[in-house]
Amino acid sequence: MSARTSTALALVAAAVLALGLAWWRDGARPYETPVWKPARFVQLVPATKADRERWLVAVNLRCPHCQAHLRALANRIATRPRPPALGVILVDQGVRPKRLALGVPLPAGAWWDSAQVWRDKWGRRMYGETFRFDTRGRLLSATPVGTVPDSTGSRM
Amino acid sequence: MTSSSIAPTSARPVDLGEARVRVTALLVATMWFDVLYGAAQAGRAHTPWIVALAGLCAQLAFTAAEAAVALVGWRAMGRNVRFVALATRLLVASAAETLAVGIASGRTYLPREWALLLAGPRAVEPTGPLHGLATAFAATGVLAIVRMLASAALQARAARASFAAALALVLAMWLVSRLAVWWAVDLLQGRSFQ
Repeated sequence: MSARTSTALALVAAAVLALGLAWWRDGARPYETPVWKPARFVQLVPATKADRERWLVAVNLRCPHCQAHLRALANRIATRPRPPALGVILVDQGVRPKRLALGVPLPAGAWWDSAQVWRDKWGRRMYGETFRFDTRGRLLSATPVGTVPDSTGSRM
Repeated sequence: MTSSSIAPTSARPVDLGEARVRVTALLVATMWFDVLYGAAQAGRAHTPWIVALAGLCAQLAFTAAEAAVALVGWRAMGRNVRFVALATRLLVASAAETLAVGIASGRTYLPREWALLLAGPRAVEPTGPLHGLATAFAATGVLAIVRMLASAALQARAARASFAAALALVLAMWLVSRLAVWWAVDLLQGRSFQ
């Protein structure tokens, strides 16, 4: 085997091994099950309804896709007789936003994740993920963009 | 008396077999564009031809990368194969995949069971978020197996090696690429949706 072939094989093997090691380390790392504790976040818009389920969408301000999901979700639940309280957790946002214009009412409030709880403590990475918490802050479900959280078979 | 002499030609003889493979590869590239255009239309893309063109470029880049890795594999086994010969044959073998993509995108209608069998789990609508392992093997169906067998047969001829050796290389590359997809998707997703 020539030196070039050996080097190329070693590089491919090293890349696959590095990926596998990163995967194994991430899998072995303990993450918290999300529990809604407002004290861990910075309030940007106050919550106005606390007597019902909270649906909190992980929104990044540079992600139009997850903001579109938030608006679609707001439209979808607007006609319900007792809609859940919709809110946002602003994630991967280094500085406190000066203004917040997401275009939908947020009865569960808007919360800035200044301490990176969403990423570092909960281990979450997908923008637009919707957390469904009960009135006591316990997680009921976590669903991706395009899904109605309380009917996961239903696409928007 | 006159004498004539014919100058020996310096042109290389045309390799008809290689020319046939290249023409077939070109046809498969147009098949890819067609099926990706159909998939973009089915997905209501704003400019389907741009999506299809980008998809074709990605497919060609993927084939080139696959050929580069296969080249290293063949050299490690002591066989000298040309990159172009491998790349064209891998593109030809991907013809089976164009049908699978057509089925998965809903462009080619088949009953659910047949779609699942031929194109793999990606052909049926997922009920929840996919995880790394499911994503990695979502395209595993009969057509994926056909592609691997065709790839092994074509590569074996190009490398003048046995079919078994080529199949071993193709399967090893497929398994390693599935592992990489599994791990990469898990890393990108973290604990989301759990």
